Amino acid sequence: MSGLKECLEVYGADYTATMERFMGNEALYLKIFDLFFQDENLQKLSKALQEADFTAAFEAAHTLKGVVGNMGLTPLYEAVCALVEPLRLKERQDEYPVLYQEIEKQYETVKKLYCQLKGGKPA
Amino acid sequence: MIAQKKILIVEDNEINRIMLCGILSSDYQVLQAENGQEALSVLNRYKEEISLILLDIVMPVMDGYTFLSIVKADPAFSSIPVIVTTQNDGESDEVAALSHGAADFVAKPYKPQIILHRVASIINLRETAAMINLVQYDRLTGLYSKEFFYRRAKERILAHPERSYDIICSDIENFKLINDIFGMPAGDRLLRGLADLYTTMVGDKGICGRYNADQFACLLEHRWTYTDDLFIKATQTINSLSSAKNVVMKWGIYAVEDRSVSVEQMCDRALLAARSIKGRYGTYFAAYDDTLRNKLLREQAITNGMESALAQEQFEIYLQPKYCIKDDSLAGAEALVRWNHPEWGMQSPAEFIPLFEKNGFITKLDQFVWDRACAALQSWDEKGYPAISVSVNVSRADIYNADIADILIKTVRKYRLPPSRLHLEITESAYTENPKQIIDTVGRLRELGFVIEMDDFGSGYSSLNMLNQMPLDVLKLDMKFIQVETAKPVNQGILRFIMGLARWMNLSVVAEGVETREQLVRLREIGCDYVQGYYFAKPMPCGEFEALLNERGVALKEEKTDSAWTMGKRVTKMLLVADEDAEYRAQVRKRLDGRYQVVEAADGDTALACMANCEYKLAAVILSMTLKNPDGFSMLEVLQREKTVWNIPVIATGPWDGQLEERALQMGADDFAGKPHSLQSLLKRVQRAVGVNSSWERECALRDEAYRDYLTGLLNRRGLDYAVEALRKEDAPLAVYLFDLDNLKQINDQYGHVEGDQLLVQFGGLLRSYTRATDILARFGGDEFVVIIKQMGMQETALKKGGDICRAMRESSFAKAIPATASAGVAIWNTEDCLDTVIERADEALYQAKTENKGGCRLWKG
Repeated sequence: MSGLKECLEVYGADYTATMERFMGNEALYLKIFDLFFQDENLQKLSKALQEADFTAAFEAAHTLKGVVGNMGLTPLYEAVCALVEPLRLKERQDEYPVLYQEIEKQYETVKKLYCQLKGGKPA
Repeated sequence: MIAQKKILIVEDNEINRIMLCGILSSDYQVLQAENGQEALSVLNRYKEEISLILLDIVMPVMDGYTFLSIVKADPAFSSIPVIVTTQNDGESDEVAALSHGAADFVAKPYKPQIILHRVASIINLRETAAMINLVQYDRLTGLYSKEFFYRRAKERILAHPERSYDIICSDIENFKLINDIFGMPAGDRLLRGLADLYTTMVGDKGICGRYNADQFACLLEHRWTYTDDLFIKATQTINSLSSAKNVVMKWGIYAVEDRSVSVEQMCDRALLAARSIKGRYGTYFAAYDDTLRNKLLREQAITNGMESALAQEQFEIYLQPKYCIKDDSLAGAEALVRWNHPEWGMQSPAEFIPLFEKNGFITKLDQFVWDRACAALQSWDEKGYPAISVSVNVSRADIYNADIADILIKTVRKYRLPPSRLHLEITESAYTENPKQIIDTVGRLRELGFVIEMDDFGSGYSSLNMLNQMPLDVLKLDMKFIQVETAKPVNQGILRFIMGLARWMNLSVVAEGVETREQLVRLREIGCDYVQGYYFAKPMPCGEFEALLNERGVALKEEKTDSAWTMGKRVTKMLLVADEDAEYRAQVRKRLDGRYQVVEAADGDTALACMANCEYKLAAVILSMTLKNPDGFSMLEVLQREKTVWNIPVIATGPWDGQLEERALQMGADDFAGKPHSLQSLLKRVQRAVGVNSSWERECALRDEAYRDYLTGLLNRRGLDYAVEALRKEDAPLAVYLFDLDNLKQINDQYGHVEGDQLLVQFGGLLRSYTRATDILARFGGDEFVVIIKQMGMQETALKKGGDICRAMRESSFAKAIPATASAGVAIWNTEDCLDTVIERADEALYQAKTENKGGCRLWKG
């Protein structure tokens, strides 16, 4: 397994700022990472968007933003942010699918990062 | 370890929850809830134990705003601070959170240091606020605390200028007693009851506070004319609540007129009013009025004026003479301070001294008195008056002054006086506060040579321990103590016990505040050493005292030259009216009382007894020739026979009869007054008889001649008898010595009588230097001397003293050709045997000494 610092930096996260949030506790960070893939907000977001329930979509995206922000996963965070703001105002609805795809894409990248951290095993 | 403070995290997202736990769990105990609903049930369980809530806004089931609204509306939770966690994506969430009652917010992504700081500071803020809240109310009674009462009362008074208010305070007089007897819980119950009474009494017309321990205060709209009834009822209510049925309460009222006065001061004044009736039975309340106000103003004026008074020499010392009880000679004085204010006149020390003690000025004033007293002593020394001592006060505050010894020493040095001339009066009460310090300080002063007097002994908490530990020279008995004490029968008194104690501890005793003859008689009887009081003299300005010193000082000096034998000057002359006619006696008493102390006798026996008792204190006798049992002429005969001892002028009275008059004068009467006569003429006759017959000094001189050995100045045999007659019970036990100069005859023969006489004079001087002035020294025969030492019960001590004298004699003539030694015998005399017997015993012992131990001393052993 490569070092957490190296992997995160290669991925594009601010390692120092993130680990400060976790009181320098890498094990806690990894534990949270485990939980991250159990989090259902991405699925909720996807479902809400399909059903055009933009309120639910906003709530899911909003929560996801908080979690991802806390975890310092900058590329994914930026992708989520790009959707949260239009959702809050329920505008630019035609762009939602594109924005969502970008989130999914970044989500996959994070999955790869996670595998890398866990020694190559898929989640 | 203290229990950790609890923080509740309300957050639907598990990841966020875990992160927050990670941040907070090292400092706090963290409780978690997934949504608002769950959070409320956690809150209900822990209530105010929870120090802080961290709340997410966007949550399912019950969102953050709803939760916040519920929490803030419930008084049980409303004081728990809530920090809202928001996304860092716009002000709207934050504003909404704050407007819903959140204390603060933190943004995601979390910054742990910021979260920890905000959490800590908000918890701290809330706890401080809670404490303030707690302090606002008295925990026991629920009334306002003192400070908070002040604030609320002030607000109210200022908010309603149209209303008139009173401040009422109360004080439970014997609350400590109630606590002691019935216990603290009963005391607390009583206080809560009193708080309820206040609340009911005041209603919505004012506010109440607990002022201090058992003192309460209320601000009340003026509704009533205050009457005893109101307060009696209140007291009854209180007494019905308490197991103690004798709670005594005093109420004080201050009518709020000047609203610029602080509430603190208003309460103080109301309490002052309450305190002013303390101990007054049947008085329930008092209003703060002009009298009280004036008293306070006056105290203020005294305080304002004291410094300048000292600078302008408005203070002056007065001296109250102190007499030696044995011979009524002037023994010294106590210096007291007087304040002669240019506008107010003479101020009573009873008023300003307690005030100065309170504000600390007493230290300066004491130093002033010390200085003035020493200055007076020096000026008397320069005028050649006898070196008396002056007592000055040393206040409690002085004792705590580290420089006191320095100051006192500098003062006496400044006037070139030995420290022993200044007697320091320490009050008994000073001992109670800091015993160690006072003992140390006083010990040091005594080592420096000051004479230490314990002032006011017997008035406070006299502690035998204190007597034991304090380095003392003199006990001063408080006048109050003496006034009470002399009213009791002799045997019941503890005065005698104190005297015994003082004797045992080698302390002199001064009785202060002696005001009546009876007191003096009592004090004399029990053997008190010195007296002071109005009966003799009031405190007087230095000038007057100096005049007294001048007059009495001459006598003192004469006494000094002839040492041991001093006779008392009459204090108040007595006049004996021996007459069978009660009406006549009463008339004489009425007319002459005041000038003389008139004593009456209805028959000869009573008259003789009186003469025997009073002896030289009698100024004169008015003797009826028609007296019975025995008759007047027999009385004259007795008086004539005893003339050498008594020498009392006699004015004989009887019907106008030339023969009778002649016979009376022949038999030794000094004058004859035929009856009836005017009392004015009788007074003249008495004065003439007293004046012509004998002034005290002449009496003394005459006595001296008759009673003294011309060569040595010691008593002769006759003087010895006289002195022994005057011995008192408390002088016992006595040691009686018979000394004999071993080689006087030889010296006389070899060197002539001049040398022999010198030896006698030398030995007389030696005896004086080895004994006290009060002991009896007599030249008994040619080369024999009798010495009676008072209060010497220990045989060993007596023997040692005799040995010391003999050795001194031996050593003094060491170089002479014929050693002039003295031998001695001593016997202890318990006054049961007659003197002759005891002298015989001493003689036996002397004989033994001469045969076995020439030049030494032997003790007679029965």
